[in-house]
Amino acid sequence: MDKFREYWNKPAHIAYLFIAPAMILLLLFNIIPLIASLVISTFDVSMTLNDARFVGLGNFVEAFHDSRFWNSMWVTIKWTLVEMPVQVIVALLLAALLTKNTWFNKFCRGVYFLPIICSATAVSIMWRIILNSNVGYITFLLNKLGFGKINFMNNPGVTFYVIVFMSVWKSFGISTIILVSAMQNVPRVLYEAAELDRAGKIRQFFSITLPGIAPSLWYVVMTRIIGSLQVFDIVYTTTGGGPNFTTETLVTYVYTRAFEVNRMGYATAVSECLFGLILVITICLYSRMLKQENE
Amino acid sequence: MRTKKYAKMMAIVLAAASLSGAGMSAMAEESYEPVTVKFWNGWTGNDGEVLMDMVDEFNDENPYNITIEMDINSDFQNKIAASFAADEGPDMIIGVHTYKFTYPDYLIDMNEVFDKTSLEKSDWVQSMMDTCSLDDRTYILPFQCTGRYMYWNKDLFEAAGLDPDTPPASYEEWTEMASKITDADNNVYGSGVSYTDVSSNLQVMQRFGGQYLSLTDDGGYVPNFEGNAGYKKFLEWFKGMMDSGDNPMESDTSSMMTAGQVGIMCSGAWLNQGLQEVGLNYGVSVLPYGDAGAMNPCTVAGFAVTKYASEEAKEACFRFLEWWYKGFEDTDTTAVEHWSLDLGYPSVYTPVTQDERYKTSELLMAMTADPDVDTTYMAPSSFPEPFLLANEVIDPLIQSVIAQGADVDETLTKAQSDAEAVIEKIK
Repeated sequence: MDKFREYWNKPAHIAYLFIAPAMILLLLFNIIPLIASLVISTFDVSMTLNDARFVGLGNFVEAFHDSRFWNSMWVTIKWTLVEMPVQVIVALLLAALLTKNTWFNKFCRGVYFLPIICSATAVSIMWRIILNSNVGYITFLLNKLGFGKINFMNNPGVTFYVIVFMSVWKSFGISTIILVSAMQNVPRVLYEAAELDRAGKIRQFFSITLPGIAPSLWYVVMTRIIGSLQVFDIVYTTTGGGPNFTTETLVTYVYTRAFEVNRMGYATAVSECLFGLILVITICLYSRMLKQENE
Repeated sequence: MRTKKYAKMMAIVLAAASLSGAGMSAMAEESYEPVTVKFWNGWTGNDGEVLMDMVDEFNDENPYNITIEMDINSDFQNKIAASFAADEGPDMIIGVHTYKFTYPDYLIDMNEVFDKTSLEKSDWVQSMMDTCSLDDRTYILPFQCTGRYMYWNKDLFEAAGLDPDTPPASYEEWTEMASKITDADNNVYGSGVSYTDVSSNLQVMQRFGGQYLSLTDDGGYVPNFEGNAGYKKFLEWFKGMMDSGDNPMESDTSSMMTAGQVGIMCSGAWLNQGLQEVGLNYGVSVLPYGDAGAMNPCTVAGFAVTKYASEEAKEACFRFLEWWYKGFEDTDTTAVEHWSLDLGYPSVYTPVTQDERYKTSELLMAMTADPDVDTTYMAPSSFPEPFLLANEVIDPLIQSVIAQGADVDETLTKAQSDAEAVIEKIK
């Protein structure tokens, strides 16, 4: 017993006990599923995992020859390229306007945060009703204003941007709050010094605020990019990927392969491609962020 | 001390007396151990509400101490797939005939129900029973045939100067009448074919151009898309109505029909209840036949018991099924009769179709096709994945023409190769 105590009382040994719960959870919920999914992606197998057939890299080869895979990849990238900048710019602007802790600003922050706590399904249903081409309130108003009857939800050229808008509307609040708290932590003396040097508000924003909130801004950018690449719920509940796959993202495509077509192996292979894409982008962004911090 | 001893003896005597009394009463009324049956399905619409009422009725009235615990879930297909994958599942489900190909290892042979209950296999329409069976095993005990029907709003017909009791008899008439009914200023559309409702669209398209696959001499399948004049005509018919503004570019046209904004549409029998609830003045009939001739394609739905049901649960499922089709001794209208009479689903159970109330139901008769017409759904019945063909080939085909204006001939050629890929995959 003494030996046991003596062994575990050493910092180098007890440390393993302290990190054990986290490591076990990581192993169970991250590492094992990751390895399992890599294994499944090499099989042609259904959801029930019956009659699995080893195909090696066959699923990946099939994906690279699959036009719907490339279509969903393009939609996902387009989504990221549109949604992330729009959201970050909107959040930055609002954060800059709401930094001071006045009663009104606090109220606005609370209101902007509200969509975050709503489920994506509820948000989708709400917007679908508001934008319905026949009974939608906004459609009705636009029609009255002379814009004609706009079919927001069933128009291949428009629907994509409408869903991007819904996604931004749903989640810009959290980005705003993160950036507000970052801006509040920028030392006031820097602004006072800038004012003495007669720097205008815009100059102050670009020369003091932006560098001051860089770590938080990087965090928002990175999480938004990853979130955009993984977008599913708002697309699935509004259009299901339509019309004619113009809003079908990679995760929506994975979902249909796994649960509608019952091809778990292929769906996992497509997921691995998405995983690879996110990994590369995250590593690039992270190294860029570290480099900037070191500079 | 002595008092305590007497008290103990008295307690033992009383306990013995009460136990024997309980035993006697059990013998007199035959008691059953409580059994709970887990019953899953995906019927979330109006039919689900009726199903819920029926299950409640069974739970209240059955003397066998059976409780049916029903879980209706819109995500039923995924739920059941995930559940079977985890090697567990409910005791009973409602499935469609293709489950005989999808889950043969998870469903028991329903022929057992004929050995253990008073139900007779010969009471079912043979072709429907065959659709749910494979190699002498019956996977689904059918209770309804799900087809698509034509609904029309009689008030809109009248307002357009059309005879409200004479619906279109052909698709050319459908177009003509739709154009007369459309009133853009009041959000009224003559036709309400949903461009995303592949289940309805493929039914209409099949009437134009016939089955999507044909059997080859060696038992294989060959797609019929490329150069199919009927499919081409359907796509042009549909696109023409979209372009003229007589059909909205909408996915949820059923709600529009319920709201009185659509003149003519195609939907399943479940729409009846919604239309009746809002008091819409409407008519319903079988869909007009197209160039491919007389047909009434339909899927067959019914009950299946899974291999996860214990012996007790299985027996309870069988008792429920016996009640569903035959009721108890004092039942006036059985559940399967209610199903057809209330919801308008044509029945596949002969005692129901021979019932006077069924024969005199205007709604059911309007929806009952000529019994001699072909009911084959999409492809030869041996084809295991009609829904895969629908989702992977037919839906993209229709959407690319309707939503994005793709060239019809080129799209049909692409559908041909997509269908060949599906067939190859299934091999």
